[in-house]
Formats: sequence, C-alpha cells, structure tokens
Amino acid sequence: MEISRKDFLKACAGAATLMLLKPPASVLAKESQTEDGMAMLVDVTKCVSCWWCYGACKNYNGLPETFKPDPEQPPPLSPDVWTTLKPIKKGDEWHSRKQACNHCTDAACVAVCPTGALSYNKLGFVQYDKEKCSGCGYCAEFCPFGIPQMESNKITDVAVMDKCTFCQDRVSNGEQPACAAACPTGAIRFGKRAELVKEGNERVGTLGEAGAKAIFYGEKELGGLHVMYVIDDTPEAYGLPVDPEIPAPVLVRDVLKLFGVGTVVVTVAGLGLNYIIARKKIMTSEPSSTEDTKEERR
Amino acid sequence: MEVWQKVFVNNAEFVKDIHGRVGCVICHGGNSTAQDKLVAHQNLIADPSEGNCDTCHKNIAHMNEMSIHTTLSGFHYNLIARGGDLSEGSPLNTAFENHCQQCHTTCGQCHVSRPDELGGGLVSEHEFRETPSMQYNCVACHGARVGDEYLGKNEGLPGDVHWTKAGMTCTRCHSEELHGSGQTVSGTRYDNPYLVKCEDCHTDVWTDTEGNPQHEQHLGDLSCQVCHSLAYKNCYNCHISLDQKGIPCLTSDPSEMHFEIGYNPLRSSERPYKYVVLRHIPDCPDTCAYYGEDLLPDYDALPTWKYATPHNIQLKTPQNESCDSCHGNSDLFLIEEDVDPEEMDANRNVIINEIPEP
Repeated sequence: MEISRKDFLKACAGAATLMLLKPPASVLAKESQTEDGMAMLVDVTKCVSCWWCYGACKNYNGLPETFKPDPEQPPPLSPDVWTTLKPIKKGDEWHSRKQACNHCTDAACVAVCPTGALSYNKLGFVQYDKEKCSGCGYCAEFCPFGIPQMESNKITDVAVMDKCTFCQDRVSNGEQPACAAACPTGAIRFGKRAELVKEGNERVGTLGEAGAKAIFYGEKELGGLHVMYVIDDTPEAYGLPVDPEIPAPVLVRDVLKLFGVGTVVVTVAGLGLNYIIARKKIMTSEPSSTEDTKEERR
Repeated sequence: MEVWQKVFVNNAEFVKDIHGRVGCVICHGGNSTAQDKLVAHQNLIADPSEGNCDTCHKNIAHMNEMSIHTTLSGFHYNLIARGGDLSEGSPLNTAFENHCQQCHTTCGQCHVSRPDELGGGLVSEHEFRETPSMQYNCVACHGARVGDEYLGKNEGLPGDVHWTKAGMTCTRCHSEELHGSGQTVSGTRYDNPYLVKCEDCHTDVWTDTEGNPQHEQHLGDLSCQVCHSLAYKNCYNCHISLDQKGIPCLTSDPSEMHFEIGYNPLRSSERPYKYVVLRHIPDCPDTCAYYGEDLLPDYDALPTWKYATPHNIQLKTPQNESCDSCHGNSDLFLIEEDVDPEEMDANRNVIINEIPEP
C-alpha cells in the first residue's frame, strides 16, 4: 500500500495533536479520586497530643516503637517515623498537628518519580511500590510538605524512600488506617472525601461561631489533599505552607516532555518527508539519465 | 496469683479496645526490636499511669491527683497532728516512705492490675476495666477490716446486708468519691465532700419517723452504725520491726473484735451525731521507734479510738433489739476501763462519761 505525502503529513499532524491534547492517564485517575476517594480529616482542636497515632502507626507497620515522645523534642519524620506530631505550645497547653503524607491529588512526588514507584490509587491516596524505587530522591526534593524520607542501605549505600502508605492494605480491605483507628478523641476521622470536606467546613463554621479563628486546609490545595486539616491558627503556625505549589521545575519538566515528544515527531516527520521528496526526485530523474548513458555509450 | 497470670496478655477484648491498638512500647517503654529479654526490658516502665492517663482522661486524672488514694494525705494529717516531722530526710519521713507510701495507688493499679502493695499482676489480661474488681482491687487493700466485715468473713458474724441481700459491690456506693473532689484534702477521708452517706440512698429515714419511733428518737443524735452495725476488728500495737532477714517490716498484735460506742470526734454539720462507733487504730506511740526516738511527740493530740463506719450493716442487731439492749449496757460503750491507761489522755474526748440510763 502506498502512502501519499499528503496522507503521511496528515497522520503525523494528527498524532502530534492527540499527544498534546490527551491528558496523562494519571490526571484522569485523579479526577475520579478527588470525587470518590477516601480521605482523613485531622481536627487539631480535638487533638490531645497523646501520640497514639504515632504509636499505632509504628506498631501496625512494624517500625521500631518508642516510648511516648517529649513534645519539646518531637521525633522528625524518618524512614522509621511515618507519622509524627508537630506540637505547638499555646500558654500552658500543647496543641499538635498530626504530620504525615497528605496524599495530594496533584502530587509532586508522583509527577517526578521516574520509575513509577509512586502512583495514584483509585481510593485516593498516593501509593508506593518500594520495589520500584531507584532512590533518586526527587520525591523528597520536590514534595512541598517535606514528607518523603530517604533511607540508605548501610551495606550497599543504595537509598530507598519511605513514607505513610495510608495503610493501603487496611484501607483496601474496608478498614480505616491504624492512626485513625487508634485516635481516642476523634481528632482523626476517616471516610469519603466529599463527606469529610462537608464535615470539615461545618466544623470550621461551628468553631467560628464559638469565636475561634478556624481554617479548613486541604480542600483545594494541590488539587485537593486526601489528608485535610481543621486548624485554629494560621497554616504557618502548624507548619503548613500557605499556598503549596508543585515546584516550577516539575511543571517545566512536563512542558519539556511534550516539547521533546513534539521535536521527535517533527524530526521523524521531516525525515519521512525528506525521504519521500528525495525518492520522488530520484524516480523522476532516472529515465533521462538512462538515455544519456546510452547515448554516451554510442 | 500465679506469675503467668500476672503478665499474660491474650485478651481479645483488650486487643479490640482502643488501649490495645497502640502497641506496648509507647506506654511501657523498652525496646521492641531487641531479641534479648534483658535488652528488650531496658527502661521498662511497669506502671505507666503517671503522665499517660491524664492525656485523655484529663478531668478525672487531675481530680485523682488530689485524692487520698494518690496523696495519702490522711496519713499526713494524722502524723502531723501528732507532732510528727515529715520534712524531707527526717526519720519519720523515711519511715513513711518505706512503709506507708506503699499504700499509694495509681490509675493502673485500680483499673488494669492489682495494687503494687500486693505484688501487682494483671486482673484480666490487661483489660482496662472502668469499674475496678472488688476482689482484686478494693478488697485487696481494704480487706482485713472492711472487706471481712462486708463479706461476712469475721467468725460468727454475717456479712453486710447490702452484700448478702443485694450483692452490691463496693463501687455501687463508692464511685466518684474515690477520685477525690479535685481539692486538696486537708484532713481525713471524711473531709471529702463527695463521700457517700447512708442517707444519700435511705432518704426515707427522715420521713418515716412516725412509724419508726427509734428513728424519731435518735435521728441526728446517733450515726446509723450505732444501731445497725455489728462487732468489728480493732488493731493494736503496730510496730516497725525486723523480719528474719533483717529487713524492717510492720508487725502488730492480733486484732480483736469489739463494738464500742463513743462520742463523735469529728462532729460537724455534715456529721452532727453525738454518738458514733469507734475503732481502735493500729498505731501506738512507738510505732516508728525503729527510725528514731519520740517521732510523734504530741501523740495524745488525736484519739486512738477513731470515727468508724463498720461495713456489716444489718436491719436488726443485738443493740437495737429493745431499748434496754443499749440503754444502760456498758459493754457497748467505750468507757475508761476499755482504754489503755497510756492512751487515756488521747481518748479523753471520746470516752463516754455517762451511759444512757435504762
């Protein structure tokens, strides 16, 4: 079957347009996640700093357990600490915000992961396949919340990342994450995101009526977090960025990716066009040159 | 209690309970990754009540900090009133720390395990029990006197009617008061405003006087126990001695069963009765002589026959059979000949001078 130059050019242009217009599969997945996914709502006004979320996380995930930490020296996130508290002293009282992966809808870690170790789960959280992690550290570098933590193997010096898994096995089996199950005061609620968004806004309204300066954080941030917060102070006071963004290099990377694909398409199209034009020229010039040769022989 | 029973944790209820979802280490410390028992048990905290329970159970834990179960302020009151010096490092303080302080209880020693004083041990495989066990917690400490009275373990005497007829456990009457009032108790347990009284339930004693001439005659003048309790244990001559291994320990003379009515040493608007039942305390002037001489120089400041509420209540008792069972019956009243001559001055205010005439 012969392909005309016109048809070839049409096909190339169509393919390039489709590649540019079609959103990545991950984005399609994210849209459904935000509507129907599961989420957690952390209400700092109900938190009593008991550290049970921290203890339950370690106990369930087989991480080295520790005695209840001193709020003045809270353990930072690490490969052995997937959930911790960020304590804030107000007067004589300690207030705390649970700190762990926020499972963003537009997650920088997923965007930059070159091996596909991080991906979106249909239930709403950012799932993690440790076997695929190459230890590049991009996720740790670009997460606006500073959540992923790298752990180097002491023998091989190969690093892999660790973070909250949203208790994937429990959640997939219809259970709530260990931290939410252990919370004695209801400060960590687990459920459908849409319902928790409603609940969070209502809680902020109730606190506002009582005179507190409450904020609902996470409804819109980064496409909608799957761990949202009701806080009674500014986001900065609780260690949360005011307007978290996916860092520019991650966005440029997507543009460059499309540009690269476009360049390849144009190059291939150019080469193909060149081949077609050159072939046609050769085919057109062949009979005359044959006659000339014959004449020369004579 | 067997050793394995003390530590065995396999209770399905505990694992389902919210306390069972956080692992052991966050409360008890230790090292969860160690393979060796000694390493695993390093920095282990057997009773982690302090600093843990109050995080969630804030109100009740803070109230309990002031209760006499925690502070033992009743002991302090009695020792200081008798001229004792409980300042840090004093001989009496040392005696107190070594022998009296062990009666202190924590949240866990009532709601999870038995009291340390009795060797500890889990009551129900680490189950957190909102209501402490009568057998393993309340009676474990309050057993020799109140427990035996209530359960009818004193020879020849029936148990309390609240137990024998209604099967009421301790906490049916003594509930919130066990955690104190949230205020420092300056005196004895009778200063707790939440302390339960018979009249709290038996409100009709104030209204049934028409059909009950005895109540009409005596209400307000006699405490309920004067007519409705039986003989009870009295202890004497508690001393700190050395045991066979040379370790200081408490010893006392065998207890004696008596029923003695005396004047009320704690008469107040709350307890206006003129006559009450009195129980002899185990202490004597040289109880702490092992630690020093004359550690209670003003021993006579408080009576050694103290206000008592025996827990062997009966509707009918030998003293309420008839008027003359009590009136004129000197056996029922604490008179001078019932009191040790050395303790006469201490008990001057409670000894009955004039026995009611028949």
